[in-house]
Amino acid sequence: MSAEEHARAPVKVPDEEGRMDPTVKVCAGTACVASGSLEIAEKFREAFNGHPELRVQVDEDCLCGQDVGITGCHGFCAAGPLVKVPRVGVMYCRVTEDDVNEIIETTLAKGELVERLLFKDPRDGTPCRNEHDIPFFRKQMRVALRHCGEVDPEDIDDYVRVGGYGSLERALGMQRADVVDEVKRSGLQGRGGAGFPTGFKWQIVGEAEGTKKYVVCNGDEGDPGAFMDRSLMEGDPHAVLEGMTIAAFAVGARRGFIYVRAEYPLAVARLKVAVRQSRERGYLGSKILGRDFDFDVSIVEGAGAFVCGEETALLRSIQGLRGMPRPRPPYPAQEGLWGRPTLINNVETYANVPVVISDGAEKFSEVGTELSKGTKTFALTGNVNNIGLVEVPMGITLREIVYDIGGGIPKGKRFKAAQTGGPSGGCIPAVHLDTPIDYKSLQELGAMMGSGGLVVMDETTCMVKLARFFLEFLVDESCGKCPPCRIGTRVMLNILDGITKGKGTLEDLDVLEKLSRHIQSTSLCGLGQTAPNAVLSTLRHFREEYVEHIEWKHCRACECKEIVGSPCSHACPAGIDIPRYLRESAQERFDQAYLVVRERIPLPHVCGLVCFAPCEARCRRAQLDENLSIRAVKRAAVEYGSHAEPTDFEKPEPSGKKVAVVGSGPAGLTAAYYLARRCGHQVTVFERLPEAGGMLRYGIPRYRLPGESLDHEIDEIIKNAGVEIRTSTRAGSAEELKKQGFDAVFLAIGAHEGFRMNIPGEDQRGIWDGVSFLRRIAEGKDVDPGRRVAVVGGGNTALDAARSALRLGAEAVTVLYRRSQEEMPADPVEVEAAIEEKIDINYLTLPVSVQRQDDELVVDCIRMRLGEADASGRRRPEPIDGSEFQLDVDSIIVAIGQKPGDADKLGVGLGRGDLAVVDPHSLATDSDGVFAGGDFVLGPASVIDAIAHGRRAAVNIDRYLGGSGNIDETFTAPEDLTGIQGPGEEEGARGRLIPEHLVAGSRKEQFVQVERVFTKKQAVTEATRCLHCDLELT
Amino acid sequence: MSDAFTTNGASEPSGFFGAEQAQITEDLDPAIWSEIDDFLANNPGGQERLIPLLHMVQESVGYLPFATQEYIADKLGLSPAQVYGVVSFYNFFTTTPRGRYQFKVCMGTACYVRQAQRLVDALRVDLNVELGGLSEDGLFNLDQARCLGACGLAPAVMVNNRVHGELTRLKMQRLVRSLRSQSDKKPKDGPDGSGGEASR
Repeated sequence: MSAEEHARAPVKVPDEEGRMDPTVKVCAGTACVASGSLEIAEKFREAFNGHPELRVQVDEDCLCGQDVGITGCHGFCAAGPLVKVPRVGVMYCRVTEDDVNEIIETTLAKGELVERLLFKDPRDGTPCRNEHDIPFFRKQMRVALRHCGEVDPEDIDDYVRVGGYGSLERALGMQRADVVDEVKRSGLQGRGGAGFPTGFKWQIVGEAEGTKKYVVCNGDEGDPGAFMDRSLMEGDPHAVLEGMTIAAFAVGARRGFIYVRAEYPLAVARLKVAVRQSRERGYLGSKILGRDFDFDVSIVEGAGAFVCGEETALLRSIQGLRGMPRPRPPYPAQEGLWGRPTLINNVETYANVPVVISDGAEKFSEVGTELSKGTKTFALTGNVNNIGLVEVPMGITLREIVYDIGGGIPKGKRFKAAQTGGPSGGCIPAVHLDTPIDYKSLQELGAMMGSGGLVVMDETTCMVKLARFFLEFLVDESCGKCPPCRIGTRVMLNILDGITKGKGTLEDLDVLEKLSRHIQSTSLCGLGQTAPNAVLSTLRHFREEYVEHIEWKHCRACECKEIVGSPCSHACPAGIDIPRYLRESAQERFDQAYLVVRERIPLPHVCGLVCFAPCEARCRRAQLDENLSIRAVKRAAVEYGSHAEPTDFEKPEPSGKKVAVVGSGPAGLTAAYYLARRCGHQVTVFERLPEAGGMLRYGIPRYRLPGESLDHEIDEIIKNAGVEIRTSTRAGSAEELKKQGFDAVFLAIGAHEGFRMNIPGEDQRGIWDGVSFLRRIAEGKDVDPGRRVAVVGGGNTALDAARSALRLGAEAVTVLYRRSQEEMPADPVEVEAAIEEKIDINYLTLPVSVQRQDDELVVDCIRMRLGEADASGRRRPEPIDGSEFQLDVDSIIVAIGQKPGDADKLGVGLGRGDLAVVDPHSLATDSDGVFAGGDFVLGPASVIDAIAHGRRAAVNIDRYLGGSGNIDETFTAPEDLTGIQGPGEEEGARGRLIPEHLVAGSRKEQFVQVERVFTKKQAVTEATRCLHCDLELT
Repeated sequence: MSDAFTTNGASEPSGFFGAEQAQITEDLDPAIWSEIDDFLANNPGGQERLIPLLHMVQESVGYLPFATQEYIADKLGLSPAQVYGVVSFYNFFTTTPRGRYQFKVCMGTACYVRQAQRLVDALRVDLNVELGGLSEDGLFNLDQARCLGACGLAPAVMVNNRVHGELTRLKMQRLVRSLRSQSDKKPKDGPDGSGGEASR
């Protein structure tokens, strides 16, 4: 029957197995319920009353179905509320009450789909009809969750119809010992976290002495971020009951308890309904299924204690006592509830048992790895697109879970780490994304399988604060019985607290590690024993963040409140007071805004034009709608307010000292400025090229940074401060400069030498080095790259070269980058502009050799694919055999990296890549009185990083020369903050304004500036979106 | 101890727990004593009934005044210290009155990563209440909860038994406003919200 025919058929018939699905199935998992799914179900019911032709007709031979059924959680929480129409085989997402009528009229009446309610594959937008198409489900293997989303958890008949209680029947026909054996051979391990072999535990209980035994289900899922057991109890309670009953039979127990957290009222309710229905049908109670086997179950509610997830504490709680663990042995299997042998297993473990019995041990153990059989549910949450509940075979990689199932990281952020095992677990960084998930591999990484919580984090999560968060949780939940846990964790928390507040010391890290080992080895129960895990794990994989907090009072995620004022200022390497200049701009006081910027940097227009804006990546407004276009506002403030430049100033007392600065890029110019203007030193800048500016002049093309703007700031600000710049002058080595009478030297030579490709045919006519190419253009020399140009590389130099080549007359410019788009280091704004200008970017492509054929160059290329991650966490590209192809071009520009040129001639210690080795705080080299900074130290970095180095160098050089090292400048009065309010209630979502650009077509033949400055009105509008995070109003 | 608990409430207020508790005892709806008796009669057994019983009393009275704890202790053959030991151990139980609307902000990892702390800070201002405290108008309690298991909706807040997800400060403010106006219309009623019973 076609979909339309189905839809028109008035009578529903049972399928081959005699089951009938309701017309409409609405997900009633907690998340969907909270999003209004029950109201949607109700609306459907009301609507069906008005559409009798859609109702189910009841026939004596047909089992009675319902119009609207509810199901348990599908796991696809990110797309809820979910509504399925089984006879059309469609799953609708993000349904609202307003959609109900349309679904009835379109899908039920006509059998057609409501396109806008279908899930769209985020990669290409294809609509997905149901679970088979949706990427989230495709790599999953739902075993424990097999019925969740399919059956009505409050209808035992639905469960039986899909084969439920068939395993119980089978088991009751076996010998008890054979049931235990089946579970043993299946390799099923406890799913609560520890992974103890389930069958083995059953055997111990089964063989224990005594006739009164108990079976307990641990439903105290306390890990924050875990909701697998909740979904199971709410979505398929009978699976849990069936597993427990089989277990009871196997071990000889007659009473069972399901201990459920009090925070799960819906799970408690659904379990009680299930128990009642089971009793009514004879699956619980006396003489189950007519056999000589009695078993009944009570539901016991917890009362909000995480430690009651620990088995001995849980048993004490059932007994009405304080939930405090006790030493083991004896284990509950021998002495449990009221001293009797007690089998205690996790919810998910029980849910797997019916499958073990019906499939048999061999089949069950076909899935998984050698040591971890079967599947595992995970609650995938945090900074990931497809938040929800998933179940996957053991051995799947973390990368597949996060990217293929989870859909990757939202908002263009990058994967930083995944936390498994809740507060007792550990974090897994990007370099281990290809780890196959199983109990052993996770343990080796210092993480833990745990109950299944999998929280994904991006770069806006501070790992130190995260460790503190988990530790605080455990300190709170510690039962207090044993000193290592009660006292030790609190001491650790105090230390971590200090670190997040900028008060830590490096010794603290040693104390943390030592204390951790003590607490691990001497705590009474699992809570204490695993409490240090989060700290140890973050120290192991993210130690540099701890060091940054301690040594630099810097939190790179901008989360630690006491260290971070506003995240934007904290992220700015020069510490510009961004919220203040945004406030001034919002009130059109652009001159004041200009001065605020000028207080921290001497090149405000340059930054307003080309800074890559690390501030924007941390702007908190992004959580509301979009981050602010901070840089564009700054540019506007500068252009409308730079007349306020304080050109007349009181010159400082001459210090009598002379400083040589080698290199007139942003690092050198900045250091020179402060040393001259604030510290009174006599500064001479040596620049080997004909004009000052370094990469600002010779690297960044004119259409991004016009020459006049650069000249203006160099003249009006740098030179006006008294700095002498000697162009076309090579400096000697640092020693030679000292002999010439300079008291200190700052080496800021940048990184101007391009890397070679090291491929055959590389040294011939028509192949340019990227930096040299850009320099020739800036020098005004004649450059003709020809009609067809290939640019090799993926950084800013490569894109600058590509866009410049276009403006020199090239018609077809192709960029070849060996990694993927996600990994491309170039500023995304630049990449977008290049694409607009019709530059063809070939990702995962590598040139292998070049030959000249008459007038053109033939480049042999090969396509790449991403293999396993290397030490930096990036996946190594591997060539794909047979994917070779050729490109015919007129010239090739190579921009695959840069290093400092002629660095060895300066006479200071160099490290990897010829970068200067310096003390990170003072920027001092190994040579007395000689300092280094900018790209010479960092490698190709950014303008603002170089400026920040210039400031740091000035401070330390001044101190070296006997000064105070104070380079603070004040051009504004203290801000008047009366009347400043946070965003009001009316503040709805408002996207960011971006500056207008020249239309792509009109850019090509000129190096005319592409980006237009905001109008004053635009600048004001954008600036008013600021949330004033520095004032902590919100 | 048992002679202090005749149902006419006319006995000497117990000085054991102080004057404030004495007043609370006097104000208690006397139906609670028979509710406890009925519960115990319908559920024969031993000490394992304690926690379910405490849940029932707290559901009914709104919290666990010491007088009820003493009564329960007596009925179960325990000392009041034992009962108090259990009450003080578990996070759910409280010996101070609760507000009409109990806000529990989930501080589970997923919600934390989605800025739940900022919701807490905002609520402290909007509800004019400290963490763990009761607002002056007696309407709102604010607590942090351990993971509510609604991670798909982070950040989440449970108001009485109902989970609200994907909250922003604005949505939170609207919710608070609607609860305030609701409470103006219904002067005294039981807890608002559903979720405690089966869905149909």
